[in-house]
Order: sequence, then structure tokens, then C-alpha cells
Amino acid sequence: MSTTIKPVNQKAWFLILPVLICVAFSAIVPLMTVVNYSVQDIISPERRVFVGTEWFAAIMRDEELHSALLRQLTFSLSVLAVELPLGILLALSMPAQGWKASAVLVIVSLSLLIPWNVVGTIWQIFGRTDIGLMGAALQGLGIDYSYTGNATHAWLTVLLMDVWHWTPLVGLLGYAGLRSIPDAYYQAASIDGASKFAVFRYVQLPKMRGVLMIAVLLRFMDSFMIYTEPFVLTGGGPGNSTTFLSQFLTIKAVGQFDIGPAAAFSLIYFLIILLLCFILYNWMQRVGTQDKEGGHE
Amino acid sequence: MARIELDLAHAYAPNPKQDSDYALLPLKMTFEDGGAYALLGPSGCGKTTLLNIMSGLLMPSQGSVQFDGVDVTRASPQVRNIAQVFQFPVIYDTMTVAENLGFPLRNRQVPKEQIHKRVGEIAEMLEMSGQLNQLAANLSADQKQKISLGRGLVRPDVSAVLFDEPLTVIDPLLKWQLRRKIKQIHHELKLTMIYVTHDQVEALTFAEQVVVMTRGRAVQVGSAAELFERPRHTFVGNFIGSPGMNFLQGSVRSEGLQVADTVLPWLSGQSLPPGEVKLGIRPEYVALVAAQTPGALPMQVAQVQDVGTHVMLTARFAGQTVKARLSSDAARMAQGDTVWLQVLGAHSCFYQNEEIVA
Amino acid sequence: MNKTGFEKRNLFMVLYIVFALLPVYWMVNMSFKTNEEILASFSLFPQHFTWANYKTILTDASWYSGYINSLIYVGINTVISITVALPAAYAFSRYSFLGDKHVFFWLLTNRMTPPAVFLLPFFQLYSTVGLMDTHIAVALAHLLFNVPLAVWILEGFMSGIPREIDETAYIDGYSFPAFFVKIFGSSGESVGRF
Repeated sequence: MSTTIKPVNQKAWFLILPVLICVAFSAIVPLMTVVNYSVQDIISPERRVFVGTEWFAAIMRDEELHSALLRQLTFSLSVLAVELPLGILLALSMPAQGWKASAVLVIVSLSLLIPWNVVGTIWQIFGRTDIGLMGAALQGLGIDYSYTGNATHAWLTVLLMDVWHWTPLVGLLGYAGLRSIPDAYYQAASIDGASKFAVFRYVQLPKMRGVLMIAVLLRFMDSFMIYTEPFVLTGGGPGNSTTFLSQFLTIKAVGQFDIGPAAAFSLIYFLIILLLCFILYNWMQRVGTQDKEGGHE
Repeated sequence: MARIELDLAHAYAPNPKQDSDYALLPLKMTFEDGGAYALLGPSGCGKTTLLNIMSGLLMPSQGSVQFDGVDVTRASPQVRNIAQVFQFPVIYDTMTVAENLGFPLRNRQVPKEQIHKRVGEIAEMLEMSGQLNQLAANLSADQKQKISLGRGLVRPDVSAVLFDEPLTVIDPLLKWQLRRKIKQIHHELKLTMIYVTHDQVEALTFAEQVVVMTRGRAVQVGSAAELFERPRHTFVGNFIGSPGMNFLQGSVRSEGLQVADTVLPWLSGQSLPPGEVKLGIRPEYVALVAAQTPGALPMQVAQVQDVGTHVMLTARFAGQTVKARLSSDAARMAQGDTVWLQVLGAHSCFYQNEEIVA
Repeated sequence: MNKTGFEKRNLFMVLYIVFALLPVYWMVNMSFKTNEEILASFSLFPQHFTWANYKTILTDASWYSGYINSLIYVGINTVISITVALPAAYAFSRYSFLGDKHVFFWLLTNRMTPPAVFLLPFFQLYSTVGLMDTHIAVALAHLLFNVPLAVWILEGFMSGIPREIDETAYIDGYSFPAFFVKIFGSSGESVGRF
């Protein structure tokens, strides 16, 4: 939101009423259902018992949840560890202008536009040793590669797929950040005798800080919620080595029909994301005002 | 400190054929060591292009740039050892004021104690000694510009300091403080300083010599007085002064200048080539005189603006307008009155094809 | 730019482009092979180039009904999204009102919710209301994610248009709907993104 002074007008509430109704129908009502379920034990459609925070406590103690959470955190952190530097490198390598810039932008953004289940399908085939290029190539190199049988291979494949899918997002955000740096900074650095690395460290990286923070938070949140791609690729297997939180929740809710615990966990899951979203939003606000005062002409 | 000699032109396209293909028409200029110069002109006249060619950020399409006799046309800004202050403050956000100032020296591998000493000296000169350990990003725009300037001065062997409209983002209140500081530094360090601006007040107060430019051409180089008294081009006459010079269309006759159907007799010894000329006279020199005074025209008052210290009179004669800056007595004039204003006198200049002929 | 920096950057770019395109290329490669060829041999180019696969997905009912379904629900979704998002974005951009920042933030949080959280309640909700298995249901469900995003993007775009234009249009005598359509509609880029 802009920070210029806006007239106060409470009647504006009428303008946002349609949106509120829509989103309330889609969000608040279901959410209340979830809250409802999370504090009840539904033994049968007729018999419901209020159990308060029992489900929440049970969830917290659940061993399976702990390992799923750990798996998820490891995954999200690995994603960040790879996609961030790679994305920055990508942003630095993309041409600044001309037809080459447009061409590279289009090619690089391709993976961002593919429907997520298609991404999963592509990699599922790509990784097969009989009909997939990567699978066959790896096997040709002597590696006994199997993402269905070997947990480590499955992990790495899911990671690689996510890197392939989402690094361009970090790259594009970084690129936008780089393009907003006025020439004068590079000129001044040149006059000051700065080396290429000094330019990166003192001019480019600081100026990209805002967009990179957005990239980090977006990637962390989205990877925390990831469902489709790993589900299509490995189905969560082998065993549960690639079953991340979203899938874990889905299995509990729909597969096992443990509605109570599932609902309780839904809420906890939601709250974690909410917290991250709050941080992201505040950061973006701060970055936004800094940009306006920073004298970027 | 260096003497800069320019003999160049800069064109957009490889084979320039006409004037509009040039960003800078062929020029030859010398900036003396230790001098304070201003490049003055409206937007798009080529002054920033010229500055960037001097600093090495741009290479001219033809010609050469020499520093102390050494050809540096292809050399980078680092090699030329210049300093440049840009339109908006350029500082390194992650560093403190001291680190910012010391950056060029650190890149040269200068020993730490020397850096510390030099940074202290420069900070003192800029009156920023108290802020050395503050994060540069948190300071105001004028302080940031001082840091930008300081980074240029911190190198003891800097050849020239180039300013590209440095006061653009500074508050009006602080502008004159910064101007004064720059002038002070020029006095102390005797560096060659070249200042690009579109503001004539800035240019005329800062520089010893002003280069007036328009549309890629350096029209006149001179001191403030020269530019004021004898502008060599009608553009200079118009641009310098507030308001600019008055121009009256007339034709040369043997007995005098004919403006409409009135002839203004020449001053003794004055002779001009025949044809159409423009008479140029500054509002400051248009005098209110008695009727029929030689060199004066009867004019209809169109507007009287009382500015307190003086009166700006706008008067018309045969379709041409003349502005006169008169003393407050003239406030008694009313629209429609007839006044006699002397236009042809010692301070008048004559122009043919926009260039001065007398 | 010195020479070595130039080369390293370009090399990385080329490598990345290869990485980005390889899986896609492989799919395209396979799409032009028959099933038998895929299973029987392994090659970088189709030995027997065929359009048969494309023909199948365009003519076989079990395939194309998918497109039609998608088109329907996306159409419904887009219309509803834009209709509700435009006035809201205008309100957020031009006025400040009680709780505006909080409502805006709450809207964004819906975009950020794990879809899995809504799986169960949606299931229950839509079967209760009788909208199970309909296009409307899918469209409405996706509203949850698209409307906040629409409001966010449109608000950013509208904030970029100076308020003075609003006032000028008002002075020029435009009625509110006419002004809205004229100014924001003609700059349909943001709107078109959906």
C-alpha cells in the first residue's frame, strides 16, 4: 500500500464488501469448521464430544508429526540454500537490455508457468531409468539411480525438481532489483577503483536486499506448503521419506479420517504460515518506504 | 590537479552528416589547472555528455581529451584520477561515513594509518568529523552529497572534481550552504573544478569562467561579467539574466538603426554591416529618458510590476516588446502611458544571424 | 566489463538455459514418438516422427473434456475475481478507513494458506450445499486464492496512477462508473494478467 496521505472515508467499506463476502465464504466458514472439528471427538455422525485442547496436545506428542516436521524443515532449508545463491547468480548473468534480455527472460521463466502437477509428471518421466533422459544418463554413468527405491535419490530428485521449478523466481526478483540500481552507483564505484567483487558486495547485494528478502520468505513459505510436485513425483515415498507436511496432513484428514487431530494440526500449520506471512508483509512495507526515500532517480 | 584540454566532437551515429546528428558539435576548450568552471545550459544541451567525456565514463566519437598534455581519451576514470559528484547522493549504504570516505584509498591498498589521517582531514574540511562513525545511509541528502564529494577529495592526487548538477535533490535552504562549502574547498585545495548546471545563479556564483551551451554547442566561454555585458550569441543574452536580454528587430541605415519607422542614430564610431540586425539591450540598461532623446523610442506601457526594490516595466513599440528594470519611481506609471526608453546606448549589442557583430 | 567476467557470465547463462530446457525438451521429444517407440528404444530424436499423440489429446473425449472443464471454471473464476477485486482495490488505494491495513493483510494471508488446510472443510461444505462436483465449486474454491492476489496487484497498479487524475476526471464531469472504466479499463494490463 502506498504511504501518501489518503483521505479518510469510512464509506469505502462498501467497496470492499463484495471481496469480504467472497473470501469469507471461501475462507472463514471453512476455517470455523476446522476449528470446530479440532476441539471435538467425532465418534460417529451423531455422537460428538467436546474435548478441548486434547487433540492439540496429542498432535504435539505425535512422533510421526515430529519426523514430518523435521523432514519439511530440512527440505525448506535445503531449497533456500540452493535456490538463493543460484538465483542471485542467475540475476547477475542475465543480460541487462536488448533482445537477448527478453529472450533469456522468456526461456528462464518457462518453468514458472508450468502447472505444478505437470512439473511433477515431467520429472517423474525424466528420472526414469528406462525412458527418462536423466535416469538413463545417470545409470549410464554407473550410478544405481532409483527415485522410487532409494530414499536419498528420491530426496535429491525432489530437491532438484523444486530448484528447476522455482529458482527463476528468485532470479527474476533479483534481476528486478538489479535493474533498479541507477548507473551512477556503478560509475561512482568505478571511479573509486572498486573491484568487481567489491561492486557486488557494496553496491549490488545491498540494493538487492529488499527483493531477496521477499524471495527468501516466499520460497520458504511456498516450499513449506508444497504438495503437488512431490506427490506426483514420488507419492511421498519410498516409505515416507518424501512425505512433507501438506501431504502428511492430507493423509491424516482424508486418508485416515482422523478428523479431530487433522483439524487441530491444520490450525497449527496455518498459524505457522500466518506468522511467516506477517513477517513478510511488514518487511515489504519497510522496504517499500525505504525505496521511496532512498532517492532512486 | 590537472589542466584539461578538449578537442573533440561526439555524434550518436557513426557517420554524422548534419548538426542534429551530433550530441556535441566540434569544440576546442581548455580548462586551466586549479580553475573553477561551470557548464551552463538548458536540459539536453550536451553538458552532461561533455562532463562524462571528461571523466572517462563516455568516449567521444572523434577527437581527444588531454590531461596535462597526456592523451587520456581511452583511459578509464580511475586512470584519469578524477572525482565525480552526481545528481543524487551516491554512497555505500552498508558503510559508515568514515568507511565511505576511506573506500577509494582502501581500494588502492593505502596503509590504514594514512587512510585514517586523510579521512580525518577531509571530514574536518567538510564539517563532518562528528559523524564519522554513523551509518552513511541514515544521513540527510546534503550530508550524503558531502560524503560523495569527500570520496573524491580523499585522494591527494585527484586531477579534477566534476559536478553533475549536485544540488538537484538538496533542500533550497541547504543549497547555498553546500555551494559555499564547495567554493571554500576550491579556495583551499585549488583543484580544477567543473560544475554542470542549468541554474545560472549557481553557475555565475561558483565559476570563474562559464561555458554556456545549447544544443550540443558551446556558445560562449567567459566570466560572469563578460556573459552579462557582451553575450556573443542571442541565446546567451536570453539565457543569462533574469529576465533575459531584450531584442529589437531593425535594419542598418547609414545614419542609424531603423526600428519600424524610427531611426536611432549611431553612437560615434559605430559602424555595422548592412542588412537586418537584432539590437540587444538588457533590461538593466534600458533607461527612462526625456522625450526625443537620441537612441530612445516612444513606447506604450503594457504592464508595470512593482517588485519592491525595483519595477519591471513591460512596454511595446510597433509590435515589439521591451522589458525595463527601473527604480521604484516608475511605479507611478500606468498601463497605456507613453514612455521614452533608451535602447541604443553604450551597453547595446548587435546581432546578425544570432551572432554578435558589434 | 572485462573479458573474463564476460565469459564467465555467459557460460553460466548457457548452462542454466540448457538446464531449464532439458526436461521440457525431453517431453517434447517424447510427444512426437509412439508408445512402442518410447518403450522399445532410447533416442534423443524421434526415429519415427508422429503427430498421433497430439491428435489423440485433441479428439479423444476423455482428454478434451478436461480443457473444457478448465476453461469453464477459469472463466467463472476470472469474472468473479475481477468484479469483486476492482472496487476493493480502488478503495484500498484511494482511501484510508478503519481497519484498512488489517483487512488488507488478512486478505493476503488467504493467499498464503496451505491449501491442504481447506481440503476437509471444503469437502464437507460443498457436499452440504449440494455444489459438489460442479464447476462453480471449483471456481469458488479458487476464489480464495485468486481474489486476494487480484486485489493486491490491482491495488499496487492503481496506487501508481496519481490521484490527480481522479480529481481531474471528476471536474471534467465524468460519472463514477464512466471514469472508472475509462481510466482503469484502458490501462487493462493489470486486469489482463488474469
